Amino acid sequence: MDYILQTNNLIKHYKNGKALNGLTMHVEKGAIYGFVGRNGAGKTTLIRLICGLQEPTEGTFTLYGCPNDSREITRSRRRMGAVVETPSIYLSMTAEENLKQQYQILGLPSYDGLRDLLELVRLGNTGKKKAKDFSLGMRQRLGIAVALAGDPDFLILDEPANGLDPQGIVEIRELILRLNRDRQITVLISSHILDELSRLATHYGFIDNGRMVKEISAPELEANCRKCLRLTVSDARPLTAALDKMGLEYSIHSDTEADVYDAPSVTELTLALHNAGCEVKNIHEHDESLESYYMNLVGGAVDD
Amino acid sequence: MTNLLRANFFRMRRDHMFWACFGTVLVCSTVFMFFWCRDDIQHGFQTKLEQYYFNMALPLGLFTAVFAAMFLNAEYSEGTIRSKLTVGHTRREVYLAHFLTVLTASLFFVAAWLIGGCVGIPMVGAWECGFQVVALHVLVAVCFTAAFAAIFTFLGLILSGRSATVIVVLAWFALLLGASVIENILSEPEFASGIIMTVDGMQTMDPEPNPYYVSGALRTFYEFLRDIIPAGQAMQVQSMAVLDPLRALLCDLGVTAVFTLGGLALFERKDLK
Repeated sequence: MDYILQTNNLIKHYKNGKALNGLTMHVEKGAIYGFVGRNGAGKTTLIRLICGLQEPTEGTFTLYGCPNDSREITRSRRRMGAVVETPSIYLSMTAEENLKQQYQILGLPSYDGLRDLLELVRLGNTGKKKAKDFSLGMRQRLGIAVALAGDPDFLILDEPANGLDPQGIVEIRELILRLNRDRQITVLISSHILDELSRLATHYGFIDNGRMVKEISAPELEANCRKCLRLTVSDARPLTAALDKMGLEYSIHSDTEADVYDAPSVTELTLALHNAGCEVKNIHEHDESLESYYMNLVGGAVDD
Repeated sequence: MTNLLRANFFRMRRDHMFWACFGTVLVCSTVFMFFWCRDDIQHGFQTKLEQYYFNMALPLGLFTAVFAAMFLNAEYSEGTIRSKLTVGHTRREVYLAHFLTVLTASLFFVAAWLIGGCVGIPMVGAWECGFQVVALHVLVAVCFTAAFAAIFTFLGLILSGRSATVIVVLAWFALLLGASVIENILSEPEFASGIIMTVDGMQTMDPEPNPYYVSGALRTFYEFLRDIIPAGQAMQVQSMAVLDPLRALLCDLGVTAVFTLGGLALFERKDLK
């Protein structure tokens, strides 16, 4: 497996406690990695460490195979772009000036591609408008354009949908998908807007209290979040007999509750249960969402 | 680091605060020199250019402080310092590039002062003290400006947050206050000769040793302290009374080196958000 980023038992202490507590994660090349966790779980701390804004207290990580304590890590970081928390843009400059500034920071020999980049993030017609007069969505897109200036193949976005209106969220989502599909950019997105993330991510990492609870690919997650019919019946024994007879896949939760998979006909199912002497008290379709999966995984309420 | 410097200068050219400070120094230097010279000419005083030429040396540090505070604070408040580190520049490069940018801007302010002051030349003639004396005072001014730039870059980059802007500007006032206190101590006369009123009129008393006069090692220490504080040197340049130019230059070099090396060491370990 070709990994862009691997962390190994990362620990970060602050004065008020541990932000990361032995975090291990793996970001595959070409993935859109959704980094999921409640506020204060350690998502931004991890991103700060990867970007070189802070140093880990313990543990290591590799970026393109280069260890974080190696001098070569700065070279690896040149292949990376990031928007950490808020977009890194000069509010007193126009979109074009911000990109020119970033081109100079990167030491690019010319401004070739600058217009294309502005068009890519749909800011080509902002003219002399200063970034301070941009909407939140425009600033976010400009931040992404700045992060893309060095033509990176790994993009880190920390809560990119924060504070955006529905239109802005859709624009950012489409942009990320375009970057991943057309430019093969690997993307690490931290978010706690799970519904939005579920439309993007190919891989997920669930973090809680500074630890990785689970890493899972989108197909695996989908399999874990299968649709089913949740039945509440008078007795589970005639139910199992009827389901076995019908050849349906099921799981029994209690003496009176079971999930039935494979989308059976509700009429056929209730008739078969009636014939088996099993009273159906309640029946409803159950679709485990990313949110409920996450809640089951970390346990307890999300305190966002 | 060349890329960072180029980017910083690109931003400096578009920075309103830089042009506001530059313009203020230029206008103040020109206007004040013009009025001082005009008043002296009108009153028939024999005026030399150097009497007023170095007056702007004292407030120069304030402009460096204001520019450094605003320029460096934007890096934190707008988060742009992150985009420099994220793309692989080292912290050392980022720190030094910012120091050199603040220094360059400050030297522009020095140039604005020197150019503005030349308005007095057609009115009262050129410097009478000789080119070497003028050049020496300008050199000391350039060096204490570098020391100011090092101190304010240190404060601006090590203390992040909005309070840093205020602290940087307050630091200039603190340095000025410290230098003034030392200057007052050093300007105490060695002997005090009082005047008493008698029925025969005023009579001068025999000079008596001034208890507030500091001498010996303590005086040397205070003189050293005055030189090590850039505002103390600014006072000396303003009154064209740089007692020991070599010591002043060495002090500037020392202050610049200590603050820059200390800043680099602390910035290297600083957790950025």
